[in-house]
Amino acid sequence: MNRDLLEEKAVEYALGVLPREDAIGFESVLKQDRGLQEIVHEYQRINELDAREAPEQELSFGHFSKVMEQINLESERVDEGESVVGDLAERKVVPFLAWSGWAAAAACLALMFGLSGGLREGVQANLASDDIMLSDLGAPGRARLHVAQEELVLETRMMELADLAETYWYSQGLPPESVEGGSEAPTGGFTIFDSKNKIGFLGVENLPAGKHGKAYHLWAQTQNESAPLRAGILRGSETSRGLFFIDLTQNGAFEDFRGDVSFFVTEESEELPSAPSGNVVLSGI
Amino acid sequence: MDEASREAELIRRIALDERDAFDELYTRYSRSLYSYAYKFLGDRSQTEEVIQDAFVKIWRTSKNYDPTLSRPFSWAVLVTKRLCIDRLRRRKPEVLMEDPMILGNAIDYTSQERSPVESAAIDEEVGRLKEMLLQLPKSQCESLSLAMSRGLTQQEISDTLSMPLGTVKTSMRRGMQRLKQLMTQCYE
Repeated sequence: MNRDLLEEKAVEYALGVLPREDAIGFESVLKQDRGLQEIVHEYQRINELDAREAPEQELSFGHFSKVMEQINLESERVDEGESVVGDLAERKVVPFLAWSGWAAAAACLALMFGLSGGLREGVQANLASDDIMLSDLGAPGRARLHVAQEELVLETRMMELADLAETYWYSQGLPPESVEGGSEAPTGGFTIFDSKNKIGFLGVENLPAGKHGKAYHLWAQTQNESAPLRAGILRGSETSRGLFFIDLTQNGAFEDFRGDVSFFVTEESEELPSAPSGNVVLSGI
Repeated sequence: MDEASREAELIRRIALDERDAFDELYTRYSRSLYSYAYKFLGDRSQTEEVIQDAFVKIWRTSKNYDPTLSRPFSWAVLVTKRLCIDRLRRRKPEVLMEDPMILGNAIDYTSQERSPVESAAIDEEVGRLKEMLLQLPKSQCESLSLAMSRGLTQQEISDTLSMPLGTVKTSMRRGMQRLKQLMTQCYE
């Protein structure tokens, strides 16, 4: 990067508007360049003044205790070894032990969480359209999980979904003769998705190793779009099994998305395909 | 030790799970951040939620704070700003408030958490910044204000002002350089 470009990025970085993908490269240069640090800090100082200029507002009494309550809650979860701490959005792939038997697990989860409609097609009419949706390949069909839709912050909902996904994954327990990635091992998967918050998890099992130069892409078929929309890419070499975080909150294509959604996975040779090829490796999830 | 170094030290201690350091940082920053976020969201309840999330995030990510990359208050401002922008983007566009920030009338700023001397110094600098912004050409002033006050990216500023992206980039850079120059002159 030449000096002009660096200074241009310094302005954006100081104002917090440099896109994340550019910021990473810029930060690595910034750490080594004291002159650039001075420029950035000076710009940040100007931005701080702008931030301090806002008309003064009073926080409500008890706000601090709410903050501490949330921090304590998260600390307790860590202490108790509960799943999912930290920034899940940055931890896209979580390797898990292999197992099969999705259908039995789904039934188990249905019992545990009171899934309406079990895993059959068809949903009770009185359920809200923004309930969490569980879809499974092992027992083709879908179910809604009716949850209290209080206004949770996104990260709290994310943790809740992660807990559900892990529970679903482990609810069957480890099978005694678990198949370790053999060619005949059945590919399975599920999604658990919160339509209202546009986040969820995709679990995959025994996904065949991607061919050289190809990658697996997740697609979403929504009610209000005739064509499927690309929902993400399953990166990395450990794609034979894993739990992937689905985040559609920043994806403009899903801005007006409402209601039901189903997912499927294809193998693609393009980095950013605009439409899925016919090579579907997982569907009905 | 100047303010920034003191606050960087607090963040370092927060990373070691020292709660008294967190209390102190909350006392220093909460009102400023709340006022700043309220300017974006214009809704008390949502702003309180965002500030709650911001402080939880500060607690949790303090280990990642790198003083070479960011001044402490800037770091906290950016954490808050991102949460505000996320919140705004989840709203419908018509809910976006008018920018209440751009070169508004001088507003008295006092902070009980800072000493009167520190508060007076900040007031003075804030006032100076407003005057300096007024000295900038319109395109520079507008593009910088949109980035600062609404967190718009350069592409979004280009769309909002119907200005070519290249012009936005140049305007922002020149505007910042000019502000920096004017600030330096002020202290000489």
